[in-house]
Amino acid sequence: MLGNFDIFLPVVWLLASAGIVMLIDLFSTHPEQARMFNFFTALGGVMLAVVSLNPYWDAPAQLSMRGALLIDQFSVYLMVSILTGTVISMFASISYIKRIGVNLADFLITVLLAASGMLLLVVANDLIMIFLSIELLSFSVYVLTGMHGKSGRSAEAAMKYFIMGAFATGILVLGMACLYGVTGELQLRPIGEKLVEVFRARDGTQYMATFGMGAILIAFAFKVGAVPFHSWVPDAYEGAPTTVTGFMAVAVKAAAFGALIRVAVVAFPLGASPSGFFGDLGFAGYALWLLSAMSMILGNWFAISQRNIKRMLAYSSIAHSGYLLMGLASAGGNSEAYAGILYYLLAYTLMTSGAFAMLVYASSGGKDVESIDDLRGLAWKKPAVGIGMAIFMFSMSGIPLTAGFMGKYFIFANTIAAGGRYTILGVIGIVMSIIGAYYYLRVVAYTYFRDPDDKPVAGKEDWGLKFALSLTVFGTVFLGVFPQSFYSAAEQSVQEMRVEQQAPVVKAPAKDDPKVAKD
Amino acid sequence: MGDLFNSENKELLIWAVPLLPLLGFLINGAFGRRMNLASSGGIASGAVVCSFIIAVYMFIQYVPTAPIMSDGYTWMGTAGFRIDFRLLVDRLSGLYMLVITGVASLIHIYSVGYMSHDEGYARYFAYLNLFVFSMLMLVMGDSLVTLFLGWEGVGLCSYLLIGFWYKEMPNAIAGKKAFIANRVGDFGFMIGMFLIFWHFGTLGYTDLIGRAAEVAATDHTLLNWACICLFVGACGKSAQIPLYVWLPDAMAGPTPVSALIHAATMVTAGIYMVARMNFVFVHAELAMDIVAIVGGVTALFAGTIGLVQRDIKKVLAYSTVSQLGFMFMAAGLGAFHVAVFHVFTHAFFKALLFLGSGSVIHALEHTLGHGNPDSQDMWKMGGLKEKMPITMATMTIGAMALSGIPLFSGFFSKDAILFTAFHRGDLLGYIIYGLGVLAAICTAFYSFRLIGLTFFGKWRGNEHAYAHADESPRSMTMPLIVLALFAILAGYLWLPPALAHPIGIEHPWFEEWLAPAWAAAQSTLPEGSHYRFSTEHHMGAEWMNILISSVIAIGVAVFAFMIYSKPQGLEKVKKLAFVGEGDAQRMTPWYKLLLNKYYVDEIYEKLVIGPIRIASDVLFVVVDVIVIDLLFVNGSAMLVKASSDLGRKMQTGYVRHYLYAFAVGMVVLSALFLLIANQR
Repeated sequence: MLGNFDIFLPVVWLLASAGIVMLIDLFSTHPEQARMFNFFTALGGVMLAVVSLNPYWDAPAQLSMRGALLIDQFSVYLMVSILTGTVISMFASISYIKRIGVNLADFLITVLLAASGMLLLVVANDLIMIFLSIELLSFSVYVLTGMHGKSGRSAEAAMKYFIMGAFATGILVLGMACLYGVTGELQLRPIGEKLVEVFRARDGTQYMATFGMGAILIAFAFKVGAVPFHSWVPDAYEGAPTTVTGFMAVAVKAAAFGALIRVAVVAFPLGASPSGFFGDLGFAGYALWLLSAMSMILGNWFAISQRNIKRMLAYSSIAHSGYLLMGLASAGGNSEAYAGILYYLLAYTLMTSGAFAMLVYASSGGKDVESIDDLRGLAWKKPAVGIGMAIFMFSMSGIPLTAGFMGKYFIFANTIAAGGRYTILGVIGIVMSIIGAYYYLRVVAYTYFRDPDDKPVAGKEDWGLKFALSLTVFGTVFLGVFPQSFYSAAEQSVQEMRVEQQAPVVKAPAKDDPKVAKD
Repeated sequence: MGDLFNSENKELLIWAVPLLPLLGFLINGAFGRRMNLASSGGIASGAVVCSFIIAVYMFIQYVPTAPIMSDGYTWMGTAGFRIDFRLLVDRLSGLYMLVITGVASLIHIYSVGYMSHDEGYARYFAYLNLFVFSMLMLVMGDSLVTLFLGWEGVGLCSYLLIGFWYKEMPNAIAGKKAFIANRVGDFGFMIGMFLIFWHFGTLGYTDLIGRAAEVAATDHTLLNWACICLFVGACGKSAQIPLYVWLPDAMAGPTPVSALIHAATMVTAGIYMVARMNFVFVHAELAMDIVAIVGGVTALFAGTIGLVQRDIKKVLAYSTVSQLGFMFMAAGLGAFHVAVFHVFTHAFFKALLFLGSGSVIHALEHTLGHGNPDSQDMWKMGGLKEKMPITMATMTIGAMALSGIPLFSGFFSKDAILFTAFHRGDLLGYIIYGLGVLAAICTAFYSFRLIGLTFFGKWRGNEHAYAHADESPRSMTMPLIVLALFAILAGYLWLPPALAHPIGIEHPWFEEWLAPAWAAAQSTLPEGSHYRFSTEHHMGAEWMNILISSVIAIGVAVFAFMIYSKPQGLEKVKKLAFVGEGDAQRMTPWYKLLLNKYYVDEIYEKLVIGPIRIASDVLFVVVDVIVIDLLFVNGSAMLVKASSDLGRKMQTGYVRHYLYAFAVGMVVLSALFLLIANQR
């Protein structure tokens, strides 16, 4: 069982490159010359990680480490999304990190560690592995958030994020303990099978099991920033250095969603509620419905009044979590719905990390673009800002021929097709995304239709930032114009996730319940 | 390379035709600022010329045998609904493809000379390339969806190019007018599309044509509504009553743009759409009658306005509206091939006339300054034939083709339209015929009025400008000469039977070429339908028709030329137009009516825009001030603000408050979970 060790290879590449960067940074006498070397070492690590994922695509799922890890196409798709987000943030950071006075090597090492945690999280198949990888990525991200040493807000944000995160971790461990206590298992699949028996027997332990499942759900809701566990999001997003915010927004979300989907699909029994009203994911479906609706409504609503762009994007990210949760809530036994979520995560990675990179690009005179007023008429001074920002904002608000539109389309179509109360959820989503268009398009309106101020624009931006922007702009448009191949890949990758094969189904014994028997 | 061109690759190669201009757009859009005129114009023209060469090759090699159905890709496909992007080049779209790339090539080359003094040339060429791409997608796509995407694309480019000199206010207003008129049309078009999709579940031509029999059996009320809605869209794009008002104002853009977009290609998109959907239209008789009548009335209405305009481009603009009316006349009578034939000939001679007028304006602007209205006022021109012989000769050929002087291309296509109307033999046919003849009289008159005023007689404007006026550079005159050749020759592709039979041509080439495009519709038509193509010919009637048309065209043209090329003639015209002397001089009512374009803009202002403005004022007071300001903004905005403030207050910045929220959320959710778990 231990033999299949090369499943670790992607993570090993990341950790190895992080180690090399650390050593170079320690022993180099010319920090300036080491900068680019460090960068390319880190980049090489990420690239090798992507390459080493290749054998797992188009291959059946493999277990490793006595079942602690499970690598399948679903996790490969997510890992590619995560690594894409990582690469984009790294490219965007080259000059920005220097400008805010942070050592590039420190940044790279922490990002690589965070990325290793994320990769482990999406392949984790037992509770301990999930806990460890969440801690690895969380600590790295706390450090990244507070990296802007000169900014009080950065430190404050990191502190808040850390305290809140510690609280959420406590909840997570509590939930895991409950599940372990009830089932005596650590791996997801056996937990699911045991939970079926627990709910069938109904000997009192089902309360503990329910609480355990709920606590895990809440911890993940915290990680993805769903209302009402979102309070850290605006502060952390605003305080963190801009490229870190982009990294946090996309990669953490992709990893957390990956783990949440796997836990919900594999470990939570279907139809835990005998009344059937709460749908395929049992009470989890109901909770997800609620979290999704609240995130979409409050995320979009609060975003309207924000004038600070990073805060606005933070609330927008809460809303996007809502759309993704909607996809998960309504997915049930429909595997195509998971494909929609994967596609959306990829699209979200491109447009959101692009938007944050664009904020760096738009910053003039060494000062970050903070308020929307800083964007006034910038399209005429820096045309790339106008076009790029417009594409990202169009994509986020879901205007056709952009990645965001296709992602929304896939999720909304599946949700509405699920019928029943999910149709209501879909309608809420559509209404809220129309409202959301207001604050996205306001950014475009400011860049084009307001008179520019007379501040001079900064000189040439470096090639790394330009590369990151070209990649994201191209990707956002490409995914909107040619979505089918990416969507088919997503569909292919969720085939093995299919609920009817994996998730155990609770069937209440008929003699106990005359109502069910009648149905 | 040889491998690339073998027939297996034609499905892929055909994509090069629209994608090359797109590539040109991307290059010019991204790097145009750093390129000089030669490279910017060279890339744009090169892209379109290459695309034209490939189009010609594909057209000759493959289209005659079978339509090219390109490889496509599925834009989105989920269960039950999919949209494919594919190109379909059959004989109809192939012809359009040739005309678009051909005329666009010439106009790109012409533009290199015309835009040489303008700073925004890169932006200009980028827009022009984008336009060619959109227009090609419009005609080459295999479904109404691609058509609609192209439709919006050309609309966008048209809007951008009308307002190209956006710093001048009237141009921006003209752009806005075009935008609004087109939105009204697009709204109808979309409803038509939805009706068809709702009923047939598809928007692909190939799918729909395959089900032509089913279309024929469909409830005709539905088809009528769908076709009327589609035609509303065509009215917007192809400038028919009541949505034509934007086209004359669109002349604010650079002249080559007027030639390419507002004469030769984009405005004929409506006719393309009707011709493409012919198998639906032939079963919607009411819609067809509406198309024919709107076309006929527009032809005459715009023709009469063209009689008195002083601005050289305005004359041509109203002439375009009028000629588009002719095309819809033919389409509405079921003679789609005749309509397409007129599109074909019109593309050459109208582009020629616009480019010629551009050449004149270019020569005068040199001294008068850019944007000076005098450079377009024909009353302040005259005698330019000595200065600009090539422009004069080519424009005269264009005017002859436009007026329908025998043996020039316009004669053949216009004659075919009039004969179709005459031959129909019922009241509608005769009404259309009458409208057509009157419009043809106007056409011949304003064409030669234009030639006479511009090139003949004595110079009436600024002496200095005349002295410096000179023939345009080679890059501008070459396209004129090429277009002039086509303006003569294009018509011979369809000799009327009366002329063709004696020399042994049984079926005119053009008619036979397009026959497959209507085959599906023809096979579903009942016996005795108006829209069945007749196989028999009436030599006598046809000769009479030719005779009448010729006499009218030649007679009116000579008459107009005699008046407007001589100072005495002009004096007489002034007496007709004005009464009284000196300060008491007033315009005669008729002249005033025509000069003010029947006051349609003013009527729209009073009847449509005015009420909307009043309604919006009322709404402003009732809805905005009372409901929105008081209830929503001060109430709801108070609500939004309050709730936003709530959000802000909740977001205190104190971690303990966040943790309260966290804990409360957790307790509530846990309680819910346990409730549910307890439920049995």
